[in-house]
Amino acid sequence: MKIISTLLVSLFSLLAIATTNNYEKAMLENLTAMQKARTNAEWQEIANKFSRIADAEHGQWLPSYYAAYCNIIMTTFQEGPDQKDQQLDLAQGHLDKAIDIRGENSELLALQGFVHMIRLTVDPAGRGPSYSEMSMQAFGKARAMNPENPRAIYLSAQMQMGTAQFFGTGIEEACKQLQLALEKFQEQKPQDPLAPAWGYRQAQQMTQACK
Amino acid sequence: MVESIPKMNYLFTIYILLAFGSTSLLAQTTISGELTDSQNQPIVGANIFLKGTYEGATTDTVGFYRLNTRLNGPQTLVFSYLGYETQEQPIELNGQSILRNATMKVSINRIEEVVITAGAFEASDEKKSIILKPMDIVTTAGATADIAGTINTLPGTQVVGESGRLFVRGGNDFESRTYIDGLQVNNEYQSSLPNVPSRHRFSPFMFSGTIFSTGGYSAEYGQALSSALVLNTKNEFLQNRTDIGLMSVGLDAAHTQVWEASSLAVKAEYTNLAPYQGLVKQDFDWVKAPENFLGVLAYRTNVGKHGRLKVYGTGSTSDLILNQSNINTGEVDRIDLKNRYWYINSNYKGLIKGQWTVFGGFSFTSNKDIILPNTQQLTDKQSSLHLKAMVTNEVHQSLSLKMGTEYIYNQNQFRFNPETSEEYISTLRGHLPTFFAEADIIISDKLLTRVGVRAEHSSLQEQYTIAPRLSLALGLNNGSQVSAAYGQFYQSPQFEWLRDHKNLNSEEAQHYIVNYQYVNKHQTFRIEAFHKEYSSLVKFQGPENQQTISNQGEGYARGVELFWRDQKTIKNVDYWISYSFLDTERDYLDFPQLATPKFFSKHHASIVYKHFISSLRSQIGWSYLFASGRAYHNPNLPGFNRQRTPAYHNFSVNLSFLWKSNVIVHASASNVFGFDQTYGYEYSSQPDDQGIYTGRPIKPGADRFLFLGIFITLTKENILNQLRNL
Repeated sequence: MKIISTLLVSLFSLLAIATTNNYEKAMLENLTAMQKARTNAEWQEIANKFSRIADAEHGQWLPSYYAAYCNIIMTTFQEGPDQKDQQLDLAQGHLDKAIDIRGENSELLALQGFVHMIRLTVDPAGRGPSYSEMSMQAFGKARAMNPENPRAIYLSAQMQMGTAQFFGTGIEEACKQLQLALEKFQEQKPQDPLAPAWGYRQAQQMTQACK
Repeated sequence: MVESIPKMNYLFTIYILLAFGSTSLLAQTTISGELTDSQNQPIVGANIFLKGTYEGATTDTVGFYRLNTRLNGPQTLVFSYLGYETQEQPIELNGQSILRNATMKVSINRIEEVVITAGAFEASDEKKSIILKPMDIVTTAGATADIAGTINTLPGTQVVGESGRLFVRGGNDFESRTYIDGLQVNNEYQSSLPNVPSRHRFSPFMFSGTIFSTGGYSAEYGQALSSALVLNTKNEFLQNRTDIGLMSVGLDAAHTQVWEASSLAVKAEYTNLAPYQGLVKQDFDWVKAPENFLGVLAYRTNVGKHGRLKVYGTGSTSDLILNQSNINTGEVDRIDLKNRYWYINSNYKGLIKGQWTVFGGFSFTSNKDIILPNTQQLTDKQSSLHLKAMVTNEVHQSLSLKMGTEYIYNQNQFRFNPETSEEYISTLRGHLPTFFAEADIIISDKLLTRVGVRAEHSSLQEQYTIAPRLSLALGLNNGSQVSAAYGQFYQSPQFEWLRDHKNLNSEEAQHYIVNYQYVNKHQTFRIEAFHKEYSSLVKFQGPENQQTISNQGEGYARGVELFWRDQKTIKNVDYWISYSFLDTERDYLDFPQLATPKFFSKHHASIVYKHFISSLRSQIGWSYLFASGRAYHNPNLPGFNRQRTPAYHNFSVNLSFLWKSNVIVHASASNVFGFDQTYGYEYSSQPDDQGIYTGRPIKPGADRFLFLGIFITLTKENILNQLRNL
């Protein structure tokens, strides 16, 4: 009997490990795929998978976080303003779900600012005044919660850059922020392999504008 | 020991079976199929998955998917894609290949912008298919950030220069009512003297959305025969900021403080036209130029997770003294006008159990005008309270209900101290309980109807009224739609008449509106035709004979209006053109017969042009307003209101220059070419010795109005500015 009970205990713990590993494995696979994604179809496939994981794992905020991120990126493939807005509505839906699970944190607020920033680009003249304020507020809060978050710094630098370019004013301050973001990207050491780590490549690309 | 080996094997088998579940030992199932929409077009990128698992697939460019799974037994297959209703289908997995095609239905939320547009111009940041943005209101040349000034560039309005107020579709100024967050505002224009224009008290600052309704509006609004102007305050303030404005007419300062769940914005403003009038020659004989102190406060706080409480208050005090020559006595009247005003509005909006939205609030207006003509004194004091409670419920995807009740209390006290006779005092109190209900019904993905009714009881007139409202919108192809509205409207007569004749009934109007609208990415075209029938208007026989007062007055207004806006054809340029044709006549007040009231012209047109020049960090704009001659009555000639003034022209320019990212310089000039503007003519009430009534034109106080201001915004990053407030 002793053997049986020992076996049963180990069996259930193995099962538990198997399911978590299954979650981690699926997430890691998808994150790897995300790094290579180029086309809308690829992003769509990854977004769909994150969305499935989010549906199955009620207590995890990261699948919804990444599903939101994918949908933000996918707006760049959309042509019309209505299509972009729809895609952003979907991103916002995933983001709200993640915030419901996790509560506000620096990464989620940075992504919230990102959604507002892209909403602004759909109609800069009309939405500029309200959405610039909304996105700067979200980035500000994200940075206050974690001053080391490179994504929050990078995104707010991008916002400052866009504003400066729109009004034809200087981009020096935005470039300074970008440099800070690059430093923070190099310092970031996520303990969790699933934690958000994106942004370094985009931030590097942005330095072109500062040259 | 020997015995235990098979036992171990047995356990091991169980272990394996359990560890890999019932899946791995059984065959793999393939589900495949095609996804199309109702037009049989493939849906690309849809998510197809087994509910509660990670197993799923994405449709390819021809809408095809293939899903391989080791799961077994009964499962739920889910089809989901942005903008379509999610479908779930039960499915039995047993190793056999399964073919599942699906046709997906467009979700109601995605239905292309079928909205009721008849009679409504909406400005909003949030919604997608709208005609104006709040920004547009504040950057229109010639409007000097006056809400009424900007709205006068839209079809359906009439420029009445000597008043400055909104006159909509043959309706008097008092037939238009302003609401803030759904609660009424009284005395929304600054107090002024006859033939001296006034401004709307509420600057576009602090409002995030505006709905200007020229007719056929929702059952939520009543006591306005012609128009509802609905201003919505911002839901939240986002950043700590300080705004400072230095203007040629005064200065203002505002500060916003944001906390975790609440925010407070305050503003103080002082304006005095004396220095300006010292520099620019005025045709009016000012003894004391208008001077105004204004304070504004706005507070928001979150209540629980889904509730928000808002408080908005404003108070002002103003004073002016003007010498006006009296056409009847030939003498100069010195008129002193002092005004004390305050307004408070507080409301709560929250979500209960997910689908019920509750709204409750009140507004209170207090207005006191003290008019001192020569040595007499006239005091007009008005207080109004508005209570409102409302619930809305999304009963179903295609049905939403709105129900509410209101109570309006008005008190008016009028005192007159003539030098020669006794003091006259009149106090009026009116109670007006109201109930309204409205349903939005989505009949098909292209057809939306709104059915509503409003019931009121007026204590002054002891009258019950029931006003039905109906509107519908039908979506056509590619961004075009037709919309129609019908509504009945009631409004209590003005205090001026009620004071001595409490038995008067409410005045009535019926609106019929048809509208066609086409919207694409950056262009909007709309054409609207309307007919408005007035009845039960206040009427009496000649100005001296007010004892004959009754509700026998009637009238009509009909017309066609065009609107075109284009943000595409010329790069960085946004312009809109409005044209209104109006045919209106009334037989009311002291009119001897049906005639066009003196406010209205047959043709009214405007062009607003805005050009953003990125390299100069400037927006330049101009506007041109045209109105054909307005009716006036010359008692020396036969007939009534037969004459027409010369046409009205006004060409205005403005410039906003972004000096630094947080400093804006704004300059504007109205009527730059100095067109001669005549609003009408007035005549003496009695003929002179030769039997001739002396007349004179009514004109503006100066040919042009010039404005210069510097607006500074201080925030942490200093990238915000007051562009939206100008």
